[in-house]
Parts: sequence; C-alpha cells; structure tokens
Amino acid sequence: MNSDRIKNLLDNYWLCNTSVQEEEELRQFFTQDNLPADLIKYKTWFDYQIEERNCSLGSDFNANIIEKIKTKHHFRMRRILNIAASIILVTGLWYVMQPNAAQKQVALKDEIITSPEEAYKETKDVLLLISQNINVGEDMLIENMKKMESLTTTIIE
Amino acid sequence: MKKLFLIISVMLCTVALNAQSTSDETQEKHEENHEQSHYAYAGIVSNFQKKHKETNDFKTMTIGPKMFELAASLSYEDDPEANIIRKLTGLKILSTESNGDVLYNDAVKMLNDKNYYNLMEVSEEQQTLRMFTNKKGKDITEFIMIINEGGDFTMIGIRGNINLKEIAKISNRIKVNGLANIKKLDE
Repeated sequence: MNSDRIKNLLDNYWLCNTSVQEEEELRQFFTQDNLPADLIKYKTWFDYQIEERNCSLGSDFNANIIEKIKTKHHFRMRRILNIAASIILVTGLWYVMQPNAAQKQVALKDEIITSPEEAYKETKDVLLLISQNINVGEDMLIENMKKMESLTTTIIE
Repeated sequence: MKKLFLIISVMLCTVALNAQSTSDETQEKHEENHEQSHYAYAGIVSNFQKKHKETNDFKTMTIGPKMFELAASLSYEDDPEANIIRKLTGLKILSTESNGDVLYNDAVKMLNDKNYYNLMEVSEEQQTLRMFTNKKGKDITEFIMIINEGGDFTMIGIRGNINLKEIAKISNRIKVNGLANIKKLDE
C-alpha cells in the first residue's frame, strides 16, 4: 500500500468523502507497526476506533448486575425494617407514656374523699337527705294514724 | 444486622420499662390496701357492693374514718350539724342506673338476714325507699337507706354513733329558716 494513496484517502476521510470500505482500508493500514514518520500521528486515532469496536460485555457482566440488583433489594428491605421498627418503637413509647385509662375510670367511678372540707360538705348533704326522708315518713305515719283514728271512730259510732 | 440488634434491644427496653411501671402500680395498690382501712367504709354497703359488682356498674363515694377524724377537727362550731358529723366514722354512697328492682329487693333481703331493723318504708309514685338501723346496745351504729327510683338504685350507709332525732331535726330547722326568710321577704 503506497503512502500517496493513503494520504489521498486521509484527505478524503477528513472531508467525510470516504466510503465504508475505504475507511476500513485506512484502519487496516494503521494497524501495522512500521508507518511512515509523517503518518504515525494518526495511528492513535484509528487504533482507538478498532479498540472501541472490539469492546464487549465481560463474561461476569450479568453476574455483576444481578448482584447489584440483589444488594439494592436488600437495602430496600432494611429500610422497610427500619421504618417498621421505628413505628413499633413510637407505638410502644406511646403505650407506655399513656396514663392507665382503666385506672382513671376506676378513680372516677369509685370516689374516695380525701379532703376534710369536702368530706364535711358531702356528709352534710347526705344527712339532710336522710333527715328529709325521715320527716316524709313521719308525716305519712301521722296521716295514716289520723285516718285510722277516723276509721275507728266511725266504726264505733 | 447490628442495627437489627439495636432495634431489638431498644424494643426490649420498652417492654422492660412497661413491666416496671406495672410493678410500680401493683406496689402502689399494695400500699393502698395497707392504708385502706383509714379511707374505706367497713360496713354492709361494701359487702353489698362486693356481692353485686360483677353484674352491676356501680358508682361509689366513700368517706373513711380518717376523713371524719380530720373533718371533726375543722372548726365549724356554729354549725348545728357539726355535733352529728363529729360522731360519725364512715359514709358510703353506692349508686347505679340499672337493675333497680333486683338490687333493691336483694338489699332488703340482705339487711333482714343480717338482722338490721327496718325503721320505715316510704313509697311514693316513682320512688320506694327504706331505712334500716343496726344497733349495738342502745346506740345506733349503722344507718342504711336504700332507694329505688324508677330503676335507679342508691344505697347510702353511715357509721358511727348515730342520733336519728338530731338528724331528723336538720330538715325541720332548714324548713323553719326557709319560712323565716320568706316572711322577711313579705315584709
């Protein structure tokens, strides 16, 4: 292959006027080791093209990807676990911090007076209620006795 | 994995904390029981409550001996009721808004069985009421009033040295005072 033809091809190559075959010819030319000194500077360019063309996926590519997917999945699982744990923790704390509802209710339902003033007042109210009812009962008794009296007098008469 | 351990240990801590707080509660309850005799009503009303508490939703109000002791030391010298209150040692009100008829009849039966004296019965339109007394020698030591008001049941018990004549006077006095006030208004 003479260098004049190569130079001519190169000129066309830079102007994008070469065919696919001609470009292939150029690439092949530049793979040889003994190049004319004025053309050696273009070797890198064409070597790079060949190199890139031979580039393919490694045999361990699939395995690598699958492993990455797995680790990502694992990471997600951990995140879910973390969130679940925080929810449990917060719920647990809330449960502990809550005042015992049942106890509260009992306190309301079974009132034990612990203030003397209140005890005095409540007792007074209860005594008044009892007193009123005793008097109602007595009044009824007296009324009934009067009725009985009038009944006996009518019977005697 | 480390994180998991951390989470589990925190959770266990929470459980432990909770357990501790419950044990505190039981301890408190224990102490309460110890002191209860000062604040509880040790009479037939409490027995009646125990008997029926499973099937009835009772509301109670209790004033124990300790409170009467303290209330007696309050200086209500002018109050005519102070003399009555000073001699009391316990008061309990038990009430519920259901089962009135059943509870009333059972209370009557229980009080009769325990030889309480049936002082009087007052029947009005909606309300039936009975009063019972328990005596030790000549003194009345417990007074019980049971009320059935249209299905609502109330049981009131007072303990101590009870003078019914004095208690009967209270409402008369209030009536008289009320009348006097009305007269004043007329003038």
